[in-house]
Amino acid sequence: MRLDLLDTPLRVTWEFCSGEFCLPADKLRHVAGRLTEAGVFFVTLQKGAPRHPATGEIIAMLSAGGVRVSLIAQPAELSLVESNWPLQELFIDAGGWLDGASAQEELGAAAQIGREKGFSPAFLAVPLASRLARLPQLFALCREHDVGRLKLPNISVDGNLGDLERGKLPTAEELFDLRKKIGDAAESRRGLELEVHDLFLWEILSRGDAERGEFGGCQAANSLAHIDAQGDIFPCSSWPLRLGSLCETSLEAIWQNERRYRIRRDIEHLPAGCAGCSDYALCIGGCRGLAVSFSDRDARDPGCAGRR
Amino acid sequence: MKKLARDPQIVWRNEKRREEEILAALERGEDVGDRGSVILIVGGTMHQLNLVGGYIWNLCDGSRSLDDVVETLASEFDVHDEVLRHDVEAFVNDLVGRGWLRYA
Ligand code: SF4
Repeated sequence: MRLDLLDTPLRVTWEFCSGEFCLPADKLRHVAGRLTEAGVFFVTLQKGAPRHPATGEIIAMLSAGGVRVSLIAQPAELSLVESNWPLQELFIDAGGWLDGASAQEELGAAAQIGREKGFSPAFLAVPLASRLARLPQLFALCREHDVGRLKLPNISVDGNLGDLERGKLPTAEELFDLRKKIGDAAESRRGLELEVHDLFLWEILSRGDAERGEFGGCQAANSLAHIDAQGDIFPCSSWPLRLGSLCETSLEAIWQNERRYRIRRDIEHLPAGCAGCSDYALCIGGCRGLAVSFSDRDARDPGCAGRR
Repeated sequence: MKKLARDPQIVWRNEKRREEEILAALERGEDVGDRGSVILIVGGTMHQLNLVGGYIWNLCDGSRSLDDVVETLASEFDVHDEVLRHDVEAFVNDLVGRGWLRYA
């Protein structure tokens, strides 16, 4: 069945804080109200959410409005998570451990605190280039700490494009190195439920023997959206083009504006770099947000090794 | 008679704008069978139901039997009763088989 343009997104990531800045509680309530009005299915609260005093209230509000809420916490933030928060999923950010900035015991202790609070915590790590080599160790760490699920989400770009240099994105060569290192992918991910956003990384980790689940090409500005700490909304966290402010405008209205339609037209445009690729129907040019952010709409996904 | 109810674990919604577009296309005599107006997420995967499937899905709120659903649709669609019953039954059976609907 044809996937046409949706009225509003289904999955939204919401960055609560940027550095020391967080919206006050009344503005957060306003944004949360916009999300429930729009019928968004899933919201993931991230970046400082456990630290905000209104987080419990926002989670309860979203949940009462029919939204499934997930939360990403740093290991040190687990003590701030309340056991009565109605979370669909609690993620512990393992990125610091992959960077060598935090100890294995800290991650293990965080998982234990999460369990004591009644959750089944999962680990999460943004797959930056510098982290790829330690991914197999992270799989082993999940098993060691009885964490059955690991999510490798898309790589987010700061709203003003200041936060991510090109060098942090995995290149085709780095992905190739990972492919060699990972060896038996099925053995490596044994006992682990993996959710991987990036198609090329997924191909390496699945080696064709696992289902990818939902994927119909880049869903930025359709079923996906991202909200930054100011309440501004973006096509997804990898595409730093501001579409509007949820503090000022409803999500339905923003999803009908020309900027949103332009993004969708850009996504439908066949990138010149992908012309003739035999996998285009499957890949559809990969992550269009990163391709456009670091090049232009005719570029291939930055992790692509070339046409197939 | 047993009532038809949706699996409460399934998140779903009506796409109002798309439904309007589909109705307009229908008026123009276009084939709209492959155009979805209800979105569902089942086990992390997105599915869509077309216009008639979406109407049936909306009616299965735990208050109607299969006969009630057929009767309600019969008042809206100009289709022979037998044909309608056959199509609704086949659709409902498919969704019951998938576990998306159940008889409560
Ligand atoms: S060329 Fe690369 S990015 Fe483009 S469709 Fe093919 S595999 Fe995907």
